[in-house]
Parts: sequence; structure tokens; C-alpha cells
Amino acid sequence: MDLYKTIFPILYSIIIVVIGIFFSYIIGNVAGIIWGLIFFLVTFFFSLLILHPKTYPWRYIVPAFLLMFIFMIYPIIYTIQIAFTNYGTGHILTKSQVIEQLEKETYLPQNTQNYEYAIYENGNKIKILLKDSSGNIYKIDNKKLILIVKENFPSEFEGYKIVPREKKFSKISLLQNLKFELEDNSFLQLSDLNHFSLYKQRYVYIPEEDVIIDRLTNERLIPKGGFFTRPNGEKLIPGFVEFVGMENFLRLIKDDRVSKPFLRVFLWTIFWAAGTTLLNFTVGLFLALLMNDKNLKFKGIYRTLLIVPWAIPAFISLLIWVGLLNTEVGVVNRILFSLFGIKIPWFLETTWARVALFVVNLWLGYPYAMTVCLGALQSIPEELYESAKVDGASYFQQLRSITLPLLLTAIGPLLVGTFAFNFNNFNVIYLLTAGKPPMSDISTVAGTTDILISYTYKLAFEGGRGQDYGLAATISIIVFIIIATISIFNFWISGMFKREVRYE
Amino acid sequence: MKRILIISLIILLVFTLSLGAVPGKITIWTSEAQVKGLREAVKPFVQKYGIQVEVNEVSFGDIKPKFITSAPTGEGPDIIVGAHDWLGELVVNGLLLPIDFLPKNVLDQFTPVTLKAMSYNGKLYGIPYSMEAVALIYNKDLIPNPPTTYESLVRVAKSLTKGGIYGFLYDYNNFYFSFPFFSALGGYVFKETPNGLDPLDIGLANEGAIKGVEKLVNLFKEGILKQGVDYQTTTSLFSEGKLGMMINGPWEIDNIKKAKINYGVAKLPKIDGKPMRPFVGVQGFMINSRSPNLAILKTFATEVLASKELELKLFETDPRILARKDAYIVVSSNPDIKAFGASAADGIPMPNIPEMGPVWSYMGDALTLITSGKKAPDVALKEAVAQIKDAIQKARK
Amino acid sequence: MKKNKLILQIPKHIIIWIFLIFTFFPVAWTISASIRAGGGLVGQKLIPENITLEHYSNLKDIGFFNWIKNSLIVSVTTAILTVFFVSLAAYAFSKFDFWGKKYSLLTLLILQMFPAIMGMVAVYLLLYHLGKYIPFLGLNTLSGLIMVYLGGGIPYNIWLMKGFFDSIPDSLEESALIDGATRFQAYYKIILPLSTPILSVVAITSFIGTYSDFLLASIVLKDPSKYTFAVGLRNFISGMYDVRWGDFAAASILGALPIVIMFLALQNLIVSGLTRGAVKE
Repeated sequence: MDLYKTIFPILYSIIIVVIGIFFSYIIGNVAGIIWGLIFFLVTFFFSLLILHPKTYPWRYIVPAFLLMFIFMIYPIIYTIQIAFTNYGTGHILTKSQVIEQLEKETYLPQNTQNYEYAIYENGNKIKILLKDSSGNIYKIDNKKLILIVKENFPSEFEGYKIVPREKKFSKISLLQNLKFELEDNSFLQLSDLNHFSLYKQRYVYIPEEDVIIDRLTNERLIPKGGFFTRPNGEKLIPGFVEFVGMENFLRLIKDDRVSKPFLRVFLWTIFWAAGTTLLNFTVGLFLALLMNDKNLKFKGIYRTLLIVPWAIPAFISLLIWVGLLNTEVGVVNRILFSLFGIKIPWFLETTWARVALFVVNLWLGYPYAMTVCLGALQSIPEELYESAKVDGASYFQQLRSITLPLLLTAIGPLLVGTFAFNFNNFNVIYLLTAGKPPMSDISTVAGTTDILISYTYKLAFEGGRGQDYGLAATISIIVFIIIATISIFNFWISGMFKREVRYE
Repeated sequence: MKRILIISLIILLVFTLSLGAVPGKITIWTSEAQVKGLREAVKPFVQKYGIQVEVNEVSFGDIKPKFITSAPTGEGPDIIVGAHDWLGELVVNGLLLPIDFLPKNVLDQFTPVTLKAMSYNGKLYGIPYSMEAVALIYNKDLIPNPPTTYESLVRVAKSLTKGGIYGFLYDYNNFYFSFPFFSALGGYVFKETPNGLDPLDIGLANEGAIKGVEKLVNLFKEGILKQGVDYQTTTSLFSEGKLGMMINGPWEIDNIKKAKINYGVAKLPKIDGKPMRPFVGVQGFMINSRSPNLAILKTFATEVLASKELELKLFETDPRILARKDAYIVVSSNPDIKAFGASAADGIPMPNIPEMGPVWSYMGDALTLITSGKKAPDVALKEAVAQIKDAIQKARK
Repeated sequence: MKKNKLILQIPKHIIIWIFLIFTFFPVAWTISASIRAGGGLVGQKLIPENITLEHYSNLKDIGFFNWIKNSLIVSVTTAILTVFFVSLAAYAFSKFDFWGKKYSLLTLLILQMFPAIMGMVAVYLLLYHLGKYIPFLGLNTLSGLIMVYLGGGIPYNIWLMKGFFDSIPDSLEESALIDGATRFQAYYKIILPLSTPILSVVAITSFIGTYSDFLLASIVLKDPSKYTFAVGLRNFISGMYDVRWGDFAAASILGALPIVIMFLALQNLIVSGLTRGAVKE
């Protein structure tokens, strides 16, 4: 037993270190050596925490944290890195990938020729003979084409046997990689399945000077703004990913398309996130209290039926809701019209569009809130109620003085989490209103139901240069900072950190 | 459990395997509709050369994003079947091979608009196979003869609109569907120049465009178009027999047939004697520039992808307006294909440059403001165009 | 007395029925779309004129049952492993005081607020490289997808579970420790059995969360035979207009069944009397 107690932590920490080394290597590959190293240090630190008797509780935590580090923190780090680059449409390849691709580009020299070819093999080795359009057959020797015969490919050549036509293409993987250098910088390469052709390499990269030479025009192309650029300013596509420093942040701050509607969008976002979270949890708690009644008949069936909205993937229910709430032919308006003679302009007027968002998100969200509240209600010891009953407290007094306070401490952090989730609830906004109706007094892409994240992603992904991941990453970081600040502030105010509730 | 997992992880460290594109074998990504036809159509090539061709089904909306994420890592397919408006983005990302190897006599077989659509900065980057454009789809039981002019459209639609029946509806806040109103009297998205499109010359707020959009607004004044109508409502009303006419595309025909609606397809009506010109979308094959199989692909593209036989094979499972003239003639006995083909013949290729992004969103907003009566056409359009230019210029800096 | 109670319950039933109507209003229209021939998602009549079961019979051809199988593999595994990892960590956070506790908790809270959309590219690259060394955790594998879900669900659930553990009196554990149990045994034999409600809640939330996610899954999975339910379903509407709404609605109705069944099976654990009985002692 004691042996086990000493061996177990050692074994455990060794495993963690091994996993750490492995993932550090991978992360080093993806994000750069520094991040790999940092990740290794973190796992190494974890393994120390496991070994040290005083930090014993970490043995319970490390597996979860390790998973989290790999699949959650690492993507965040990656996003932060992207924010300082121009990654996006036109700039998705690395510089070395672009150079590799450009160096593959060729042009046809004036004396270009297409040659038919025949393959000859001798054991594992192969040779190629070429035939030009006038029937001359050449071998390639010492960077030169040497005429050997005319008209027909010989069946044997320098001890090599010809590969019959029907078997020719089984060598295709080999053939594709053949490249015969000739004099004057040109070379012969497979151009299609039946021909070799004469090419010249167009672009040559000179690492010492970090320039690309265009052999066709004899221009020097220098890397500038994520492109290799000709002296006349013309950019060579594709561009490459490049570090741009704070440029994305500056672009956001300076852009009047962002600053003009910012305050409005921001206020609505807060209102939305707080409002929908409170609404969902109030309704969820209310239903949970109803369902928690032992004497209620059919409560099992009710509970199951009420979680159905949760069981249908949100993207389909949202599409259904869009149809139901249609102003002209939607079912909801037709019912309202036949009952009260009114038609509500659901997605046409700001106020109604917002009401629709709250209602639909309530539909989507209350089953979750109800389930969580049901679970949390179980954690309240029964004897508290019993003693309250003895003291003659009414149901509502019990609710106010026992249920709500205890429940809030349990689900308080979840409220913050749900608030954050709705703060960034791109899906609901995007699928239900897509931010519409548009603001009519300011000219901007922002709609009146756009929240911060949906609006700024519009800028990044529907902006003037395709998909601007660099900008989107920058936005993610800024939104993250905003929401984290709000949440920490919330937490600090409500004193949740100091709380260590125990009932004894 | 966990320990077993971890130990097996370590053991597996030793047996490493690499994924990645396969040299000597062609991989094609296409959406569901073309899988069967393509598998059939490549058989002769496979027999002739003994080179394998694998056709993978990837959903249409996923092909472009997955290609963009996977192609740079070398994980991508050799060929994708895609829409021409992806072209600009893929080309500036350096992911497409220019199609400069097709002989002129092959290229001459294609309808010119399809080649234009598949070109970027004057270079061809895709082999077109089909095209599509919206037309006027009408319910023959409600409207025996489709209107050919704007005025008769108004008259017919107006007399039909009552008692839960609608004369004419479509997804008007979607710029794609409303573009014919812009184009009829001279509106255009980007000015065409010999070097491709000029993204800073936008003709969506010129005199013709404004006049055209006023004709659209007039449909609201006449009580024909209703507030809040979108694509969903249009199609479901039509398939329930409650809508006389709509602007829609060939993709919807299958649903209409299933709903047993007696339908017809006609060209969009003329405004002041000028045709309403819809956007033309072109589908075709694009080749991964980072493929290890470029030489094979050139032969494959010439012998298979650009062939009449392939288009006809694909038509069998997925009827579309074919891009090759000689193939189109064969299939144009189908009245729907013929009608949509006639509409496409009037059309303009949808711009394929990345600058189209802001056009969709700003014009969508402008149309919403115009059709809900919050702004006059000339004001909203001029503002939108100014914003589009602003967005494009900011991105260029 | 008893009669009185029954009468008191009538308003409760009425309120619940109002919510049931609210809940099933859109569901009814989804069912309607699933038996309607023709285009469009939301029709004009709840009971369509042309009724067809074709959409349901189409499901076999589009690989629906394979999606469900994949989804169940992913969701069940994720749910079980999440409960395992999270309950361990939450136990430590709830019952120990140790170095780094406060800041770890704060980190957990803040981490979950990061907008996830950008992380997708990173996840893709990570799995791509991972797959080079451990093929079964690479791109296009269900196990790789499970790992990603596991990592993402941890912070929120630790908080959720910790809140519940906090309310279990320390005295119960202490008495076990005095009897000579190790801390791990105390966790395993005392805390876990008392916590079935919250374990079930976490299991259900992660099950449903993974079952209906398509964002991550569609990035990781390439091969249609590996598609999960949500990815497969999403494919129907990923084309711009060319959408088979009927099949889509039929699939979403049938696809919701596993979740309903799962909930039916676990709901009694959520409101089990176990806790109360034990705490009373």
C-alpha cells in the first residue's frame, strides 16, 4: 500500500511529462518553438505539482487541465498570434510556401517543343527516350538531347527494355517527379500524360537578398505588404502571411465604421445578454420549482416533454421560427390577425425584432436552465425546509430565505457563464435576424439587432477583402477583454470568491 | 481506463502514419448531385490509363472553406467542383491552377459567358460545366400566359392578389434576386475592363439602377409585393398553389414537381422594352495548384472534364443548363432547361472578385430600407454605393 | 386535506400546459414540414394538403442512421469522459484548500468566454499534426473529435459541479476518513454516489451539447461516412437554395429522439432522493 503511494505519483507525473513532451512538439510545429517550450514548461510544472505532497489536490485536477490546455488554451494562443498577422484571403500561405509555388511557375522558351516519350527499364532503373514532332528520337545525356534514331522507338536501348504502352502509366508516380535539366536553364518535364515539354523556370528566389527574380522580364521583386512586388508596384499573387504588428488593432480603432455605431451596439449587447439570461433562468427556475413538487402528477412526462426544444438542433428550430414569425404569411401573425386583427412587423421594426429574439431564445434556452436548476435544487438539504416549516414560514418565505439564496450561490457562476455565452451568441442573432433591421440614421453595416460579435464579424468576413482572419482574431480578443472585464467585475461585486458556503 | 488510454497513446507514438494527398491518384470533391454521374464519366479514363480516380462527396457549402483550410497543408483534393464566384478568393489565395493548356478548338465549344465567368484578371481558372440563372416561374392553373412586359406583370399580378392568393412574390431583399431590376435599364455591379472588373467603378446607383429599383418599389405601391416576404415564404406559398409567379431558379423545380404544381418557366418580363438581366452562376471544375499530380490532371482535364460526354453524363442525374454548346443542344429539348437557358442568355456573370463581399451585405441592407419604405431608392442606393467603395478602399490600403 | 392539495395543483398544471403549447408550437410545424410534399419549410396549413412519408423513407438513402450511430458514439463517450475528468477536478476545487486554487478557478471562468469561432483554424491544424503521429486522433476521426469536445467542455462544468459539491457537508467525508478511507476512496464512495443529480446534469448537458454541435464537427470530419447527425443535417441547408426541407425536417424529428430517450432515462437520477436521504443522517 505504501509502495503504491510512492510509486503512483511518480508514475503519474512521468506520464504527464511524456504527454507534455509529445504535445509540446506538436504545438511547437504548429505555433512555433516558443509556444512548444511554454507548453512543455506548463506540463512539467503540473508534474511537479503532482509529485509534491503539499499540492496533492492537483492530482485530481491535472488531467482536466491538461485537456483544457491542449484543446482550449492553445486555440486561444493561436488566435492571439493571428491577430498580429495579415492572415486572410490572399494571405494564407506562408512565405516559404509562396516561394515554393512561385519557383514552380514556368514559361515556355521560344524553342519549346512537345515530345512524345517511351520508358525503358532495367530492374528498378528507368530511362526515357523522347520523340519530337518530326519523328526524331533523342536520348538525354549530359544536359543535352542527343539524336539516336528516327521514326520508331527501339525496343531496347543501352540494355534497357521498353515498357509496353499499356503498362506505361503504372510508373506515373515516378514519371511525375522526373526533371531533366538542360543547358541554358531550361528543363524537360512531364507536361501531360503523353508528353514531355521544354520549360524554363520563371521565378528564382535569392535567399541572401530576400528577393525574387523574374527571369522573363528581369525584374527584381521585393517582399512588401505581404506580396512580392514588382518595381512598378504590381503585386504577385498569391500573397503570404506576414507579421503586421498592431495594424489590425489600429485599423479597428481608426475605422469610423466601427466607432460610429459602437456605443449603440455595445449597449444593446449588454441588454441582450443580461436580459435573455435573466429571462431564461427565471422561467427555468420557475418551472423547476413546479417540477420539483413530489405530489405533482405526470411530472416525469412534463419534464421530458419540456426539454424537447433542447433536443432539436438550434439551427433548425431557428429556421422554423423565422418562418412562423413572418410578417405577411407567418402563422403567428395569421393567428394574431384572426384573433385581434393585428399584424406585428416582427423582423421589420427594431423593437419587435428584439422581442422576437428574446422569445425565441427563451424557447431555446429554458430547458437547459430548468434542468440545471432542478439539479441545483437537490443540493439544498431538506432539513432546512423542515425547520423552516416548524418556525411557521410560508412557501414564499421559504423560497425567499432558503431556496433562492442557496440556489444563487450554486448557479451564480453559471449565470455569469450563460451571460458570456449570450454575449457572444452569434448563432441566434445570425440565423434569426442577421442583425436586421438596418440602422437608418447612421450609414453602417451594423443592424439594430447586431451584437458586438456579429457586427464585427460582418466587418471581418464581409468586408472589402474577403475573409480577414487577422481582423476577426483581433475582434475576438477585444470582445474577450470586454466580456472578461465585465464578468470579473460582476464576480468581485457579488463577492463570490470570498464565499465558502458550508451549512454546518 | 485513463491509464490504458495514455499507455496506448505512447505505444502509438511509434507507429506513425502520414495522411496527405496521394501522388498517382486523382481525388475529386463534389457535392451530392454530381457524385454518381462523375463516377460513371471517369470510367473510360481509368480504363485507358490505369490511373485511379476517387470521387468524394462533400456538401456544397463545405467545399470552398474545406479546400481553403486543407489545400495549403497539402491535404486538399486535386479537383473541386465549385461555383465561379469562389474563383476570386481561391485565385488570390494561390490555390488554383490556371487552365492555359486547353486547345482553342475545345474552348470554342463553350458558351462564352461561362468562360468569362471562370476567368479572373483575364486568365481562365476553371473548366465550366453548367450554368444557372433565375427566371419567371409561374403557376399555369392561375396564369395561363406569362406576362412579357412589366406592365402586364403588374396587371396580371394585381388582379390575382386577393383572398389568400398572391400574384407575384419573390425574395426581394436579396440582392441576387433583385439584381434584374437594377440591370434592366443600365445598372451594373462593377465596370468591365479588358483586365477584368474594376471594383471602384460601381453602377448600382446610376440612373438606370435607380429607375429600375423604382419599378420594384412600385410593386409595393400597387399592393403586389408584401412586407416581410423572403425565400422561404415564396417557395412554400408557390408549392401550396397560392402564388401565381415568382422569380426563382432551376434548383427549385424538383420541389415544385413533387408538390404537383402545374408550372411553367418563362423569361423575366421586359422593362421599357429592355430585358431584365439576371445574374448567371457557372459551375465547373477547378484544379488545385498544389497538387502533386499536375501532369496527370492536364490530360484528365483535357480528355474528361472538358468533354461533351462528361456533361451529358452529369445531366442524367442532375439536369442543368450545360456549358458546352454541343451538349446544350442535345438537352435543350427539355422545356425547363430551354427556358432557364434563354434567361441565362440575357444574363450577366455574377462578379467573382473578393470585393463582391461588401456588395452583398450593403445592397441587402439598402434593399431592406427601400422596400420597407424607410428610404427613397436614390438616397439608399447612393449611400450604399459610397459605403461599398469605402469598404473596398479601406481593405486595399 | 388531500382534495385541497389536488385543487391547489390545478393552476400548476395549467401553467405547465401553457409552456407545453409554447414548446410544441414550432415542433408541430416541423413535423408538418416533414410530411409535406413540395418546397419551403413552413407551410400555410398545419396539416398539409399533399401528405407524404417519402421524406422519412429518404432518410435511409442519405445515411441518416449512420449519422445517428456516429453521433451516439461521440456524445456518449464525451459525456462519460467529461463526467469523469470534471468530477475529479471539481472535487479537488470544492474540498481542498491549496496553492493556486483561486486563480485556477478564475482562469476557468474567464476561459469559457473566449469567442470560439476563431479557434477553429487552430483546432484543424492541431489535429492535422496530431494525426501524423497518432492516426486515430487526427482529422476525420471520431476519437479526435471527442478529444476536442472534452477540452472545450471542462471549465463550465467544473464550476457547475463544484457548486453542487460545495453543498455536501464535509462531515460525511470526515467520518469516512476517520474510518481509515483514503481521500480517493472518500471521493469515490461518498461524494460520487451523493452527487448523482449533478453528474446526470453534466452528462446530459455535454451529451446534448456534442450531439447538436456542427461547427467543430464539420471542421474535423471530412468523410460523409464519419458525419455526425448535426453535420449531416447541416449539409442539407449549406447549399444556398437547393435545399430538401422535407428530408431535413424528418431527420430533425427522428434525430431528436435519442436525446428525449436519454433524458427519460436519466431524469429520475436528476431528482433522485438519494441526496436528501443521505444528508439527513
